[in-house]
Amino acid sequence: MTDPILQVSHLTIEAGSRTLLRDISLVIAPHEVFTIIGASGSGKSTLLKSLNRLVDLTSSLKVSGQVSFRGSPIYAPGVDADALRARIGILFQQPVVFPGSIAQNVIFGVKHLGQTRKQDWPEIAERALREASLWDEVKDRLQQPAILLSVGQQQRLCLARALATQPEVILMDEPTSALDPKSTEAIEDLIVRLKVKHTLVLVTHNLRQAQRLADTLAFVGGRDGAGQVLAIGNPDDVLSNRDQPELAAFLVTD
Amino acid sequence: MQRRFSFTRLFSYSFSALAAGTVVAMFVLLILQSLPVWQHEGLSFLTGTKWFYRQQQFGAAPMILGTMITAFTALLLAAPLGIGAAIFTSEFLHPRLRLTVKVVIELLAGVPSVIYGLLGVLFLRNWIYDLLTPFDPLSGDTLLTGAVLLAVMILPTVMTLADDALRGVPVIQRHAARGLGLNSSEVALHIALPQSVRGLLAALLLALGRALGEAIAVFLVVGRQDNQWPYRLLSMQPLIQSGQTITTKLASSETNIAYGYPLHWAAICGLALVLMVMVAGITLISASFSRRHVP
Repeated sequence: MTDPILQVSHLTIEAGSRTLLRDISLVIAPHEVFTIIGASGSGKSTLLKSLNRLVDLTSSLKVSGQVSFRGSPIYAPGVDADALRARIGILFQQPVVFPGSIAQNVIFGVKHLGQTRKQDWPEIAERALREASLWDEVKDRLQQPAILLSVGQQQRLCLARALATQPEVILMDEPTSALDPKSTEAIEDLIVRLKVKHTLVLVTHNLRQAQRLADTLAFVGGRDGAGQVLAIGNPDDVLSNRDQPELAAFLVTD
Repeated sequence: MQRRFSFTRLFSYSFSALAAGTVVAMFVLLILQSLPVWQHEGLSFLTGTKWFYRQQQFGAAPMILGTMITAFTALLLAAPLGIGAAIFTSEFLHPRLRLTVKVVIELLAGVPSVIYGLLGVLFLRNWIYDLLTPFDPLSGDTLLTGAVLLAVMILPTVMTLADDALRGVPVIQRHAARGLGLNSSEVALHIALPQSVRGLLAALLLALGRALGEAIAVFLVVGRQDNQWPYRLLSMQPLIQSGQTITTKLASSETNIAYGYPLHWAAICGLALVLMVMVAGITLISASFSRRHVP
């Protein structure tokens, strides 16, 4: 078996006296689509954001346990969380475009991280936009404000912006929940293609999407007041699992 | 469809109209009261450099210059400090500590200006005198002293409004940039600052408005020397000599003397009108910036 790209061991996240996630352990292999499902408020997004230490930005959250990226613990003292986030990109539920043109948005990360030469930016932008299947739609209007794009295109632009920095892992927090069916399908097709080069961790509560895309499926459910991984494995196995009452209830209501 | 009668709307419109009407009435009153001096001096009321009320000579230029020099120098000093401090509180401080700092800063904004003036007399005059020793100043009462004191006074305004403008940038924008690998300084520089430019400008202009209108603190440290028109305008000279601003002139005992003499009174009202126009202009520009500041 190949070495995992991400490994979560006994991860617990607390907000004050409240435990959001308890004793989470999971393994994510390279080039797989690892999908997390669960009811609203079960801590899926918090779990996702713990994988690139974006939880650090919420000062009230306390993390214990460990997450390892390529074998190195990311919560160890001295780890550069910013450098880590450049390698583990994230796509949010709502597209977050920055003020400025489409081109400025795509190269925003590479420009400010300062790892590439200015003359390479157009090439990087084109590569990222092609990878995000947006190039053909925007190649003639790269200097137009990004905010003029449709919501679906904005989400793909955000994906292109993340891809431009060449992350090894892309975290996706319900990336299609704000999109129409056509844009959703475009993003889903992209996810399938992107896993050739990247590892994807997808949070969704769309079961059809989870079934279609997931190589590994994890169900996060609330038990004893905290989110826990209650089922994990092959998507068909997880979705047919009736041993966990929380999962059964989720499958019935969703 | 017919609009339903609403007391809230009625009161909102009534009080807005009352406020606007009061401002207009103040302008009309000052225009009418100052008419004699405009008829007597014409435009040289604004450009004349001599003010001798016994000879019925009324040139307001040194006071207009004094007002501009103190207010803009104060802004120049307070802007980098205030915006820098706002970046620190909004981007780097723990939210709870940020609120504490903000409350303290806002308390400073509420300190009566005469207290600042007394502190200026106590400390600032001597410091400025010592600082200006190479230039051989006559005293520590200079336009620069007034400007530094004003800078201290408007600093809380700049800081707290700039902090609000920076915090107005949506958190998700910051998180998206941090998600790309930018650190908090880079996010402050490339996300928060560019997106809050309008709010920051509005903060600076509101502070400038306050600096233009401040009287008593400047009164105590500026020297109140009439007819100080510098030999060289574009030099340090205007800053390091005693001077007079419109507000210090209006706050002086000359205003009481003028009341009995129509032309002199008109000149005093003319000064007030000039000040009102300056402050109203700045306030209107800053309001237009604030309105357009939609993150």
